[in-house]
Amino acid sequence: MFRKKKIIEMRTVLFVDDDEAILHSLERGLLDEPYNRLFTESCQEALEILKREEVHVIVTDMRMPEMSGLEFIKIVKKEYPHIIRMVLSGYGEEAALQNAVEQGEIFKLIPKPWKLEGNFEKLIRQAVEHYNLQNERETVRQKN
Amino acid sequence: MRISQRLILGFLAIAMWVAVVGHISLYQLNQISDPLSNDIPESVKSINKTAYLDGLSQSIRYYHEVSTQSARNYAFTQDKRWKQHYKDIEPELDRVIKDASEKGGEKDRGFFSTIYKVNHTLMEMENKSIELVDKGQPEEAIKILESSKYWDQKKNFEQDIGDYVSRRGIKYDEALSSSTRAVNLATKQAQDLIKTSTRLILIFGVVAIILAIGAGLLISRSIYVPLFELKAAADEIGKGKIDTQIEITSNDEVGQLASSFKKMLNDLQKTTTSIDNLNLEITERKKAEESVRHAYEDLEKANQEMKEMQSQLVQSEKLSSIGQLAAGVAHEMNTPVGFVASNFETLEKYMIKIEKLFQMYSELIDKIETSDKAVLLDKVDAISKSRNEMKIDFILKDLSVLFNDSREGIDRVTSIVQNLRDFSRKDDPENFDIYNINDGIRATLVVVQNEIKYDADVEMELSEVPQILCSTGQINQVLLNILMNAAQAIKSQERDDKGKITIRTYATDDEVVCEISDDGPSIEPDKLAKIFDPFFTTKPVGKGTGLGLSISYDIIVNKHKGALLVDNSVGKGTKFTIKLPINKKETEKERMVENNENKNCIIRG
Repeated sequence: MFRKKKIIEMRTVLFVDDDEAILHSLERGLLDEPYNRLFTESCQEALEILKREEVHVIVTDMRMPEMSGLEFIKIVKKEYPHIIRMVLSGYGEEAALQNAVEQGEIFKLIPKPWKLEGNFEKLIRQAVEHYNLQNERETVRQKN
Repeated sequence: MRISQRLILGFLAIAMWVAVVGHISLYQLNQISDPLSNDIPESVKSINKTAYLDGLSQSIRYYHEVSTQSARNYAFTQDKRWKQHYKDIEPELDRVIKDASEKGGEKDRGFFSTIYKVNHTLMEMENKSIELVDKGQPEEAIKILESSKYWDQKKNFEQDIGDYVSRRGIKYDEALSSSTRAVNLATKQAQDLIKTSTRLILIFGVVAIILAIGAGLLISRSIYVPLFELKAAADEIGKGKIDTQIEITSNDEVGQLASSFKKMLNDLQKTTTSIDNLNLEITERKKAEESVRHAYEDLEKANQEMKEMQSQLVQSEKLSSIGQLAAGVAHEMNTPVGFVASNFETLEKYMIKIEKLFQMYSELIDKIETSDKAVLLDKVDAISKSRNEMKIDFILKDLSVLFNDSREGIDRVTSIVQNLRDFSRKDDPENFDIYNINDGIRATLVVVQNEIKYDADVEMELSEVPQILCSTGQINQVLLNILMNAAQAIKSQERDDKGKITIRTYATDDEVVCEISDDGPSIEPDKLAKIFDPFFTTKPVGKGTGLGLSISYDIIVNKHKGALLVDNSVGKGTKFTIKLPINKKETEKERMVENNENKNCIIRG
């Protein structure tokens, strides 16, 4: 139990959204979550962060100036394939993203508006655990 | 000859016949009346005269005898009764003689005047004798009466009157027999004439009746026969034998009727032929019409189907714009609603934590007097630890940010809702409302912001423009459509930099103009002419109905009597120009109505 908690505390989630208010609300809403949280307003900056920091899960908005969420995810998948990719999707975007979900480019969609205790926290944790499982499988394979 | 003439002539002939017969009869009657009125009365008159004179002569003889005898008797007897007798008779005798001399003929008159004179001579002597008797000298009186002078006179008188009477007697018989003859002759003549006339009148009457019947028969026959022929012909024609021939046998009214009838028949024959031809033509035409009608019905059906399809498409375009609108609005709302809701949830957690900390502080305060310092210090440590664990410092610092963020989010939602209401305030195409195109642009931009903002910057050069009357919902739909097209065109270029959409408004004397230009790909010249055509689209299949601009054109040009122009400068993007007419009078009126409404209705949702 202690170990598991320790592991999750070692995980980092990066949130990308061009709307500062969204980032603020996520920051304060996830205040008590065990994993580390990083917030950025643009994809460019997010890519910079990825170069410096070890990030395990990314949650990105779809519509952003300069680079859309989907483009960002494609880059991440290519550069950092192990990172679990999630999209904070608004109304009417699910259909457009369904394809990406089916092709495994996106782990899960988080619908806007969200409920923190209802599903948001749960989905992030699932993503982190998914990363852990994936990581463990990788470790076992490497050992073998 | 005309029937009327014939009739008149017939009746004239009969009338003349009757006139002639009447005249002859009258003549005959005249023949009878001549002897009756002239000869016979003359005879009777002469007889009467003769008889009267004869009577008078007898009276004269008688009165003479009596008067002379009375005068003699008086002279001899001196008896006064004789004198009286004489005085009675004497004037009678005088009167009778006078009468006879007046009534008699030429000869009689001469005779009677002689008698009259003789009588007077006798009367003088007799009166003298009567006077002498009265004087008492009867002898003197007898002397006079016995005188030869007296007797001569008396004898003459008696002789004359006697002769006259006897002569009269012969004349009387003659007169009597001649008048009887005259009467007999006249009667016979009259009887003969009456007989002849009766016979003649009978013959003439019979002849007149025969003539009248004959003329009537002839005239009626001359009318009836051709009429009957005409009727027979008419019956034949009535049975449908229109080739029946009509012979014209007279030139009277019936003849004229027959000739008119014949003419009519000829026309009828011609008409019938034409009708037959027409019937043929009509049958053919009906066939043609039938097929045309079928074709028309098919066309109508097709048209109906097309109309239905069109209305479905217009509906789907409308739904599509409503969908876009809803999607845009929902998307725009998602973000603020998302973080406000999230913040609210967090605020609840913050509250719980703060309450918890508060509780701990309360407990500490309670224990300050009863507990020793070590216990209190432990408690303070625990509080401090909890405070760190609960990140209270962050929370306290974050609270104002949370409120600011949330307020801003709620403002954004409010603004969106407000703009949404402005965007399609009254979508009633029948009733135009007051519209300021600048407000319309702002409201529309809020709705399409989400579509545009990542691909293009919107630059606005909005001038003060007058308000116009139009359908807010429809004009905003056009703005939305053009802005969306511009955004999608820029997006389709997949360029690195952001595109630019410029919205410019200004007013001319009678129009409000809105120019929306983009720096996206320009439309190819061959497609430019088609962009307002229904179903024309350059977007990939399934991406557009191809009705957006055609509906926009309909809204601006047909419904608002404005103009929708497209300008294509190759390499410089596309510019759409919307021109809407300003109707100052109506706008003013509408504004007044709206002001009144505002006054009357203070609370408005």
